[in-house]
Amino acid sequence: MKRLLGFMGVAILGLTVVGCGNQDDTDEPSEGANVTVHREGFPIVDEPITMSIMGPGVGLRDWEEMPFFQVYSEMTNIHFEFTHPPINDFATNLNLAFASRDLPDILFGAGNNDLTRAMEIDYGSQGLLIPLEDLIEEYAPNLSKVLDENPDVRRNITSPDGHIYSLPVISIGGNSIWPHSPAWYNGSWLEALEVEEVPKTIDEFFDLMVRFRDEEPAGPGVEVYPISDGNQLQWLRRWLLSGFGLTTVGIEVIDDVVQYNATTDNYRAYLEWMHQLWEENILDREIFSQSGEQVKAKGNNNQVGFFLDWFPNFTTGEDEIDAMKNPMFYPLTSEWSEERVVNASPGMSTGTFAITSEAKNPAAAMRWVDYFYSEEGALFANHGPEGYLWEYQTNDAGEQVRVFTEDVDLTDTEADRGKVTPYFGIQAPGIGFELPPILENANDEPDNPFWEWILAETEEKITPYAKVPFPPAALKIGEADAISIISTDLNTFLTESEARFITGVDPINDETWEEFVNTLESIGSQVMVETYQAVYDRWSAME
Amino acid sequence: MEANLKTVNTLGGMSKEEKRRKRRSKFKRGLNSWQLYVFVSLAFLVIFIFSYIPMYGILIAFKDFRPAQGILGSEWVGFQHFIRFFQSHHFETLIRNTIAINVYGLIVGFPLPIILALAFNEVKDGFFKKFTQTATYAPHFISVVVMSGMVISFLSPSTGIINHFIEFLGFDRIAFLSDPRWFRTVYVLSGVWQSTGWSSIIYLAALAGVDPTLHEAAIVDGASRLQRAWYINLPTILPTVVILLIMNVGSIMAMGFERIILLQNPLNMETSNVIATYVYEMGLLNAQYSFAAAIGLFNAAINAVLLIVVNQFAKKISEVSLW
Amino acid sequence: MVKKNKKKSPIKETTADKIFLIFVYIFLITSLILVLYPLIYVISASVSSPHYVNSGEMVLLPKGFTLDGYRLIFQNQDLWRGYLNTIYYTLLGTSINLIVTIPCAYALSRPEFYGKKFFTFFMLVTMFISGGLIPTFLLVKNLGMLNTVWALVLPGATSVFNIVVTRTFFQSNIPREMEEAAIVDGCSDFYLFIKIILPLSTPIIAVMALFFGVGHWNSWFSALIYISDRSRFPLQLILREILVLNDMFSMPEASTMNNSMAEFMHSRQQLTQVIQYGVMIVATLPIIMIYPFLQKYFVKGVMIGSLKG
Repeated sequence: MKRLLGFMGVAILGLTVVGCGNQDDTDEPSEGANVTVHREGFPIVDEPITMSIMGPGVGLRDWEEMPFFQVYSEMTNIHFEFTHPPINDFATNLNLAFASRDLPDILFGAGNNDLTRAMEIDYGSQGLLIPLEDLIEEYAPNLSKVLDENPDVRRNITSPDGHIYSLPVISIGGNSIWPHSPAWYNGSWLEALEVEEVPKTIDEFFDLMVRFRDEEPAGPGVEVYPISDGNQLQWLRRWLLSGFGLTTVGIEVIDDVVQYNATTDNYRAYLEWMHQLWEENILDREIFSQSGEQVKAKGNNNQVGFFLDWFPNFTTGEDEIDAMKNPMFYPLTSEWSEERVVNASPGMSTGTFAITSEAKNPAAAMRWVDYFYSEEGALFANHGPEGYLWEYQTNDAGEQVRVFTEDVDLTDTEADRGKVTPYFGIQAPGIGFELPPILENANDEPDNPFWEWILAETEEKITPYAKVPFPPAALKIGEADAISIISTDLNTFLTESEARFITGVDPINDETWEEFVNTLESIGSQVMVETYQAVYDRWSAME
Repeated sequence: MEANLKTVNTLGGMSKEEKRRKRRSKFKRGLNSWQLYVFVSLAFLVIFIFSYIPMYGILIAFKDFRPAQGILGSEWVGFQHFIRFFQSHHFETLIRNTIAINVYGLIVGFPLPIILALAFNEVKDGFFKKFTQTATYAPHFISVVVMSGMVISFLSPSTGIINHFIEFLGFDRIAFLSDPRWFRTVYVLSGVWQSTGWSSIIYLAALAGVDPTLHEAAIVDGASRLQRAWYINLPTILPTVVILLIMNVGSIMAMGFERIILLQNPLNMETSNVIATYVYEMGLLNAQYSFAAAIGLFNAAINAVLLIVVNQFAKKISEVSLW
Repeated sequence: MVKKNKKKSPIKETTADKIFLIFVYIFLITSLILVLYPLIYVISASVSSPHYVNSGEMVLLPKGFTLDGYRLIFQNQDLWRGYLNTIYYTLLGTSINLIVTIPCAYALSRPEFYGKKFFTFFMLVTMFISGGLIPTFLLVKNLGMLNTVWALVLPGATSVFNIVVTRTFFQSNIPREMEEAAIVDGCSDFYLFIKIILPLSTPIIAVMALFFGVGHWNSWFSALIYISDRSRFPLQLILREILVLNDMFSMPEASTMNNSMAEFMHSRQQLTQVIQYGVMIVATLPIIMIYPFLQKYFVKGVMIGSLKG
């Protein structure tokens, strides 16, 4: 085991490349390089061509066997050689591919965690990834339309050198504004305590938590945890921070000025308030050391009052209809923040599609992916072609509806969907919007009350106050270098300090606060601010 | 007679003639043992091809590595990464924690497999012995993730059985995982639990080489089991013990990050932040390959120094050493 | 007089010995309990309802018995091919390991071996200086070994640690007199090694077979980077995929999450923990069963008769 870990360590520290030798071909006449690509319609090319594609595999089915690829290949006349290493370690394989110049034509579904902005810019500037903006203009009408309608997106995917090196996945509508899981109140507890409205200020919140602690909302003798979390408060704190006017702990831009939130007095107020929550036994004493599964178990036992999760029933264990009585967190106000504000997602991620220098037919590749930026294409991508996951049926009212096919296991439709299309669990190119549902029976109600409720909660509690802390602007290579080590050091220090302040291991007073801020600055918070200010200014200046 | 002559001459320094003769006989000997060269040839080949040819990769620690430029093409920065590491805010904490945990682990974890092997040796063969041996080395196969999950579960102040047990004995519950003072113990003991049985295997094999006639003679002389274990068994496996000790000390800075990261949380970071986790965050999460490589080299250098020191020490004290 | 390998000595055990033995047994039984409890826990957890496992209510015996975890694991068709692949890689790899390591270690144990110091140094250096992943990857690629079994068994064919340990065994367990006697008799090194040394080295060969075998059995990283054909994946890699699939969305961040994912994750996360335990058992049970068979090679008294012969 040690050897294995040693290997991993070596893997991390040993990503290197042979400078000499291994010069690749590139002088061979490319097969199909002079193929005509149609600007619209299918097929894309008249004679079949083959390209190589690489992306993260999820293990449900080989891409070769997925109806998505099979049917689309027939439609477009573009065939593929597939490489899809397991998603968990995809970064390793991707890095190896770049470093050994063993690249496929297309990178599909890598996402910005594996194909980071920094990598994009680096490899793009070295020519390993080709610029896409001209191809988009000529061969991607759907994508061009989306970009025109959303100018911010174009700005967000452009690198500092003016080129676009990867295509994004864009989410519109629905709950795409969620930056991460929202926070929820335990509805049955609210009922038991006859609470009509959710807290709107931090004082109301505090009072409610005290009531949760004292008034046995789960029944007599049941141990309760008014606030509990399985992620060491990492995400839950963002919701609470909003009560102090901050949407994140690190870099945030307010009114065009970049600041590092942990050095502000608002943050100090937040820490002092959280410390109170700890002292009053409102925060679960194990909040920093327990696992997500342990919290879920507590939640299923109805022992948690305020928690973080994607949908509330995931923690409470109820079914969807019952889950609707758990109201979403309403952003709080305080003397520090009179207007409500919450963290929001920028609604897009880069790194979903890139074309490498190996590609002989970049135009065909661009047309291939462009389809998924249309409504029809998005449906095709997410649900697969007709006849595999779903089929058309006519219901009693004479309307055409989509119904799951016979082979689909109705208790696990997602698993079957994952066998039909690769748009499952990875950040794949296209637009995500609310897709028309697939019914179990032709005469089912297409409306989903649970989903309607989620949308309503989002509309009321997040959308009006949503703010992206810092736009997804790209850093230049020099800038990224300057801050990469600083940001890791800051994060480590911050995580530790926050926990110590909240639990009272370190007291919060003028002296300790000054020391804290000084340490942050000595590690380099000021450098962070300056760097990000430059990035932001550059981004705003782009049109 | 001849030997004496040789010794006398060596005392005063060898004459040229002596040296030449010695060299020739060495060469002859070398020639004679050509078959032994065949024995090592396979290993030599494999090591040369797969360890030495890729060795230029170590340059990455001294360069500002850009994957697109390759190692040789990347800019040379000398010791810049090392200096940055030394100047890091967390440097002292990292070093302190890494060494403390490893030394602690060595002190607790090194003798136990030996004791276990000796204990097994005293027991007669049979079901109990086989069963217990298999059971003790089974933990080695438990994956890191499952292991950490169990540790977190067992040590939980509210639901863990260890705390139930502690309460049962009349003491207060202990928050093992959120108290930095407990982290090292938790980490080391869980590691010991996992590896002792497996590590004892090598000593068991060594014990198989104990000459039973020695034991027979000792019994006749009236030696007790304890005495026999101490005076016969232990010395027989001493070479193995010493070699393993040297190797373990020589890898004291190398530490897997997985197990620590799984047990680490914001409250125990004071003692749980080690070089390996730092490198992991830097290298993997921030793609600072050169920086990570530099730290790795730093570790290797310390390990090498320690290895040499301990080896010399072992040479002086016992006949056993690595070289 | 050759004694039979029975532990019953005709001489009575003294009281001191009896007390000593009692302590030994107490020590072993305590160790057994300490080790056995978590092992039973793992087995029970693999068939218990996840809720009871996570809440701490499942303490020793299964609670909320369910075979869902195993069902999910065995549903995966790739699993069986993974088993076959791993068995093949392990057998081949271990054989190569032994052929490379044992003779080398023996040669290094002979004091008159000229070049011993050089070679030892040559080996030890690689413990500290290593080129890293990509040069190795490129080398393997240039040798044309990508996507073949050779990439899995050749780069790791030696282990300096194991060579050193084996060498130590030879140094302390093979009497010099025997070697010298054989040389005087005119034996070649080959003959000496094969006919005399090897039969005496069964304990260390058994141990090395175990070490190398387990190493191959548990490995997945080499396959991850060198093997692209899924039908050649070893067991551990397949199992890792299963685990990942069910653990994919433990981070609540929205970048890879959307509603359908969330639903999927929710339904699977219930099983994730259970599957983890099940996966482990599926992966390691075969190997654990091997030890009792190897144990007989560790039995004392192997050396009797060697000196006399």
